[in-house]
Amino acid sequence: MSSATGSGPSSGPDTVATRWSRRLGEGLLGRPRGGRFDLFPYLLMLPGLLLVMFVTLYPIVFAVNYSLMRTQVFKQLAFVGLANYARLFADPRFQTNLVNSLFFVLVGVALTWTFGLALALLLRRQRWGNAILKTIVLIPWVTNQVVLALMWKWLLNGEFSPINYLLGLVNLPGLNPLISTAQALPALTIVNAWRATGFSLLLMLAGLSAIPVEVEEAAEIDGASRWKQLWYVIIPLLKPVSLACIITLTISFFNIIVLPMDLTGGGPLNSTEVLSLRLYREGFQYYNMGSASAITLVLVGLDLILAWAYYKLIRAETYYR
Amino acid sequence: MTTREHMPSWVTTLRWVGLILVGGIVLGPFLWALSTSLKVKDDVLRMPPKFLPWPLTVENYQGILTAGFPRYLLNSTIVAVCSVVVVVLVSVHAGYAAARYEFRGKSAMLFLILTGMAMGELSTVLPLYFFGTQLRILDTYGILILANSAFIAPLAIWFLQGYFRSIPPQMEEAALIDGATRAGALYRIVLPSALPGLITVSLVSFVHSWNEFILALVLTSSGTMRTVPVGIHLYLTDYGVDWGSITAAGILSILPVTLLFLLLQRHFLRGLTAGATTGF
Repeated sequence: MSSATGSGPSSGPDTVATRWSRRLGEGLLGRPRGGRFDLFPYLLMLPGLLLVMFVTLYPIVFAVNYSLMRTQVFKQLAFVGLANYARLFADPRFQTNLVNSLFFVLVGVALTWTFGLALALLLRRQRWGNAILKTIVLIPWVTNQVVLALMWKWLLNGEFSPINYLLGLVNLPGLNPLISTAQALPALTIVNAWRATGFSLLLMLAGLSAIPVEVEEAAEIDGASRWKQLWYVIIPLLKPVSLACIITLTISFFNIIVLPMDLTGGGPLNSTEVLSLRLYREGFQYYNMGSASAITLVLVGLDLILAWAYYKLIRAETYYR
Repeated sequence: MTTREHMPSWVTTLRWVGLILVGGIVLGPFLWALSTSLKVKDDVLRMPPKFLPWPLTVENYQGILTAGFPRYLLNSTIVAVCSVVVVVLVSVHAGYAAARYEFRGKSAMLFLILTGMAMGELSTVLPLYFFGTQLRILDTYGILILANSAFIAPLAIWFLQGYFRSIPPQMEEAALIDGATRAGALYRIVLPSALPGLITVSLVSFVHSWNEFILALVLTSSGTMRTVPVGIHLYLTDYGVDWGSITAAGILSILPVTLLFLLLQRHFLRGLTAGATTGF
């Protein structure tokens, strides 16, 4: 948190920002000069806006347009209304994709958030060892997913797996989750949570450091147990950071592609084929742009709905800000 | 902090067991890959497995470094560095406007920019591919840089506007009174104080571009345009399952990003916390 705050927990950083921007609005920088139209801020904003439109507005317009067409690669043959969507939702494989994605995202985000919080509580004090571990946990997050996928594929192969060798030493049966229709998706989800925990740890640590020591001390003096402190004090105070963490992870997990592609390839028997992988296949293996565009919009829609729902949920319960 | 001195020794032991266990779970796969990459061919698929690579060899690394991997490294570097430059240029200006000026349509423009954070790369793959075919810029650095920087820009703009807000405006106001232009105030006064924020944005952009996969896979086709992740992905199809080479390539691809991250971690973390608290 910025050093200028310091007026207790009730005035969050928002208040500071608002105060500054209000002052600026009256001050030299933001004043419309002589009441005339000021082009300067628009010029500053424009390049960024145009660049970003290239991956927001343009793709959405494109996807809406193509999702309503019967297509042959990129050639639009006929307007078919919602037929692409109707066919998709009636397709059992697509229903499987949808369920797989929901499992992968919801379980994955829950695991990642929990791991991140648990580790943050373990590592929050400045001690020897903690800083090193914090760095280590972040390494998978900055590693490219192709390498992670292949690394785990190599580690989890049934035949030459060192894990199975170690399990065998203590007389436990070996694992081969990637060829099991029941275990492949959970394995994929866990590997992904392993990858993303560093990110959630980082946000949780930032959130924890923003909680004033007095708040926790007060709870301790009032005789709250560790668990009660965690549940009634720490977790509620972490809500804004949790929101940031959960939204970012949800969007990133829905759109994940390399990890499923290279770790399981959607198999066995489509048991790990998530929406994103199906979208890639419709587009670049079957060249069916109509279906691929429809899936794109389903994906974007899910992202937006979930982001909005989380936002509402947390807003509704956050009364102290 | 309060209980530190009174901590019984079994708690300390338990803490260390926990730290080592977590460290092992996170680093284990990396160490196994590193060990594999240094093994001679016969030892890679040996059962029971050899955990330490002995006899040690660098032949896997030699193999991939003579096979086209240097080209992939070059491509990735070019794309990542150029994307960083574009992102910084664009987001400094937009972030500054958002932080310091009130103007008509500002919130609508910011909203349009922020929707970019809710867009996954995958949702744009098809349109960008189409765009590339129309302009005949598929399979060039240009479209990769354009796509990468467009993706990172929303986060960078959001982050930097938060960062600019945390810098008190008095210095700029003083400079303006002294007769500096508004652009001058931005470049001479604000940017130097925002350097940690700029380093953060550059670092995040670099790592993002370096690791980006799906756009690079779809938007390029020739062997000489492959970036590192695409190159490694296609190793399986090009050379079959040769774990020694694959892990060697993986280790080489991780190295630059990990080093950068370790060296600049302080900037990275400080920047992230500053941005996160103004953001939400």
